[in-house]
Amino acid sequence: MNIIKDPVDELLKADATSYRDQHIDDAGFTLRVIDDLPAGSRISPAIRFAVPFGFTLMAAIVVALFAGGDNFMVDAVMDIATSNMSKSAFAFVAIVGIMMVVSVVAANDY
Amino acid sequence: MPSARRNAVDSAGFGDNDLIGRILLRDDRNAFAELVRRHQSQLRASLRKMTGGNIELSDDIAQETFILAWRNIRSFRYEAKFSTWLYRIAFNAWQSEVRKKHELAMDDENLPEPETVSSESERTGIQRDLARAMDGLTDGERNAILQCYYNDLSHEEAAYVLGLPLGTVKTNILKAKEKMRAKLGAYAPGRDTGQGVAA
Repeated sequence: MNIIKDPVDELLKADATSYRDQHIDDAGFTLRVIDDLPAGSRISPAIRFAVPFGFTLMAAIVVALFAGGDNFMVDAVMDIATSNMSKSAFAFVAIVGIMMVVSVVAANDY
Repeated sequence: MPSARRNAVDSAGFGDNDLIGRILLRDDRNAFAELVRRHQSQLRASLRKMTGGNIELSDDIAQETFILAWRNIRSFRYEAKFSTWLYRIAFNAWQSEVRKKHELAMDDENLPEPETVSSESERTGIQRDLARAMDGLTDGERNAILQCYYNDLSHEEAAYVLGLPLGTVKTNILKAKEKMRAKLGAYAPGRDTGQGVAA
């Protein structure tokens, strides 16, 4: 049986084969990469996320206890809404900020 | 589609996964160096193709890719081959480079002229025509062709690298080949050019 092959497919395959056959000499590339590797041991993504998250949670609990307990969130939001930077409002903004940074760090993880 | 490449194994019999295991257990830089040595040529060649032959830029992105791979090796899930995972990191790094350049220039006119691997005159007629035909593709179509043909990935692997649904990759390949077929009509079977491919 006569099978007509797709000429574009054949051209691409032929060009890709010659492209893959080329070898780029290392020429110190590996050494440069190894020299640039960050020093020290790396922390797993789970720990990298858990540590700041844990500290943020602890800070939130401490602040909540010292700034009026159950009403901390409501007080903080009300204070922010009325542009009154009380301790609750400041702590609330700090906690939200830290949580946002943690989220960005976690999201950038490949 | 081209078949998936086998997992690279060095002369001592260590596969990529063995080396990754050593890195995870002992932060073994020698094992990582072996991975870099093993994959640098393929990755740099792929990036040169992606950047239109800009050697300096492609080597910078390749270096950044390996450093990102080292930093994030704990998130490697063995769901893809190490080389495919590298291609994914490299593609993302290339995309953020493109975004940075677009933010700076807002148009392609201000982008620096790349130092090309081979000049037009060094290419054969077919390669030149093929390159011109590829210039007429959209980014999505060109990326799909590069991953599936030049990086020898399956459609599924290309979808993983490009972060696109499988159907989109298949559509991009079909559209790209359709456009290229129109531009490369002279190489079609039956034409008297001596270049037609028919079996």
